[in-house]
Amino acid sequence: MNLADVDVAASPDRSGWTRLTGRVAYDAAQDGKREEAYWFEFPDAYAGSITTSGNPWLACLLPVAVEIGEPLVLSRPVDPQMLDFARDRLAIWHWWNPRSAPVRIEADVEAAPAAAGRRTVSLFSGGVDSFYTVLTPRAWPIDDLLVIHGAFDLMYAKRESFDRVQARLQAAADALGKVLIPSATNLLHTRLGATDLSYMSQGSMMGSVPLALERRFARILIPSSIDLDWKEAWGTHPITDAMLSTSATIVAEDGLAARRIEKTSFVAGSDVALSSLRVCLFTGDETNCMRCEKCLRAAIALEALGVLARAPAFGTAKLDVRRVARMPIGDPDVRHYYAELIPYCRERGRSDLADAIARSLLRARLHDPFRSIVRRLRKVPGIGAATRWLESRVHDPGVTWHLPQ
Amino acid sequence: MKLLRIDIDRSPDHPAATRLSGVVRYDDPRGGPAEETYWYDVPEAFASSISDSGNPWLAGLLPVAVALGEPLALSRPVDPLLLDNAPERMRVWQYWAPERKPVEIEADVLEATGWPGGAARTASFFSGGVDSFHTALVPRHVPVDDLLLVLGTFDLVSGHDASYERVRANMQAAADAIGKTLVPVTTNQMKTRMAASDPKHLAGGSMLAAVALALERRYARVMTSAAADPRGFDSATGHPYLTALHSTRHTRFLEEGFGCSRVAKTEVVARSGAALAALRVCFMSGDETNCGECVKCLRTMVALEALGVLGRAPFGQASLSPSRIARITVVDERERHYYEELPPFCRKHGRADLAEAVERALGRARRHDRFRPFVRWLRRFPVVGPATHRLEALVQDEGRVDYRPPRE
Repeated sequence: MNLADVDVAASPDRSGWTRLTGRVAYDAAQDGKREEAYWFEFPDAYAGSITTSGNPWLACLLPVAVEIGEPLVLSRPVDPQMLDFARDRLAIWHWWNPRSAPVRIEADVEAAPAAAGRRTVSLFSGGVDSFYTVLTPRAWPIDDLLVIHGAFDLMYAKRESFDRVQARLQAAADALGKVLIPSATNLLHTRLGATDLSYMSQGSMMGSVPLALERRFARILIPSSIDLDWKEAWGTHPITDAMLSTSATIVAEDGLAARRIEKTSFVAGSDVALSSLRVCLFTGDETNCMRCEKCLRAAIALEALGVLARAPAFGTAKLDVRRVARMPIGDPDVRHYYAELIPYCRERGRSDLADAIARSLLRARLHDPFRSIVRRLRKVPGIGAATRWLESRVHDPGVTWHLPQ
Repeated sequence: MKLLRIDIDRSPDHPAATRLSGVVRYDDPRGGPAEETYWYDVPEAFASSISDSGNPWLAGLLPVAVALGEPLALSRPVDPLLLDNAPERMRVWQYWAPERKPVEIEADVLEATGWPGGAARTASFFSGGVDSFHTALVPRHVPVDDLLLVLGTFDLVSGHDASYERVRANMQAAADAIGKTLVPVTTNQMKTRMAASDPKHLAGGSMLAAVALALERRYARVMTSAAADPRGFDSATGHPYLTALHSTRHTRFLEEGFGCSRVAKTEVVARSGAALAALRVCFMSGDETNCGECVKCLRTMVALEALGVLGRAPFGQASLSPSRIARITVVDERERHYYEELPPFCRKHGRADLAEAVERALGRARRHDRFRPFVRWLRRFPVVGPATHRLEALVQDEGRVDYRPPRE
């Protein structure tokens, strides 16, 4: 595949925004397409920081090249350090998944490193990880917060939904003395969106957006979504994300050593954070669905701390313990978060919540041997509906899809 | 504890070296000295790169403060990024060992960039082992300029100048041959409280980082060879996230070589005559030699034998017989991981005999696992103990686990 050219021009969709477009040609057609345009957009005020280097393109196109098994040719020069680390990114992906074979990269090396920006930016969705990173006291402070229309939680967000998210986060940024930079990208609607985002390419996508503004930044922080116990592959992993660094711009994950409940406790001490906290991957707007496990998990911690009523995006003043007991916790990867919540709730005098979580966890584990057969039964006409009805007798349905806007 | 003052002066111990020293006072001497001097001796050619900031001291003294449970006060200003990262380093340590409580840090923030010209070079820590030669030899767009050899830490703690000098001379020859600059730094870290700060699980990375930061004016990048595969990070291996937390705004710490197995690295190293001639992998000898008896020496020897180059490396043996390999004792689980890489590697290079010998050693080791506690118990008894040793000797060679003082 080949990044044929890049272009910086006025956005055709948003007035007052500038679009950086890269035209990518595939050696073999992908979903019937021989070419695709990948783009990033920023308000015109930041147009002077948009890069024409190959760096954001190496970041986001490398996982695509691996998945389709084509060498990656870039028409724009790339930072030498980033090019060196691309080899390690490929090696790690291959280590995690032997089917992800390394590919050849062909690009000129930037003759001189780009002039270093001076500012620090943190990716900012308004979630627990984001607020933890922003609120942590620093001698080298965070200047800018970058929210991305087109990232996972806002992948299908309509313009007006994103505008409401932006307004909410703008209020938080103002209160914290930071600059909010809104941005948009179509990356998840290109071939990149069909790569293994969860276990390979999520960080490549997220990191490429601020790298498109690399002239502005000395440092890009990506709030860590995992903790030190994580041993497996992960799309936004501290090792692979750090390999998006260039000679002039550090890319680093932040907060890997803090457990989820430590982060939530810390964030809950900030009224600014509570007033705009949004953790949901599914609503695609400024609200939390309160049906998915991520919303419920955050709500439980906030309820145990007695601050849930001060987090309006959760839409409830009090959490019904019966709902907690009926949570389906099918994903084994998130169960340790709930296991941590049990003693956490007890220490705060909420044994009722702790007992309810313990019941949900126990039921989830008891159900594990039957999950594959239940999934098969759900697909059988007639039996499927009955299966769902039986399931609903013991637990609430989990939300695993984007809610309609 | 407090870093009272630092000093940069001629080394009283090493001619043509400049010493960066720092006097540290402990709040509670705990039966030891109330004050200690930590020092780093650097060849005069690199003396202009010695830092007078608090950065090497924050990097190196933080695990000591955590181990002692004393707040750390520094009399020299510290880079804001390093200062920001210090609480996160302590959170990582506490994550792995909850008894290690974070301590308060008191230091001024270093505002200005500090030195003219800026740091520009890339260094790599260099022990002369497989990992460090691999890092030095792999082609890069940003090449490694300097090889940082630390004398006085980890495998080189004897304090014997003659041993250090032989190691330095060997590494200098290798560095010259591969076109790198050797920067040997001698330190007394292991003669201070740092030695009691659990170098294996707590202080190790910090000790090395302190050495590089002592020369921070020289370095834009400091590379460390990744010691573990991407699934195996823990307090013993360290973590690339933790390594990066030693970075300042001007000097970045990076790990590299992920996903590259130990045998793949050995294959790269074996292509370099200079690397083979100077290769030292042994943790036990304490000098430029390899004991050829410990599990680390033996697994390297197996790979080199499979590649047909063992005779060109300083292991004192031209070849390694399968019967010897089959009697290797591999108790440690991490070592087994490395040994498991060997059979397919040996077969790929046409040495099925070596592969089978390694498989025999591994198979026996696993079969013995269930009896190990019982055998260790038996060894304690006056008559039964020696008999147990003799019985063990019938099926396997004795595993080498003791440090051998270097020859003088």
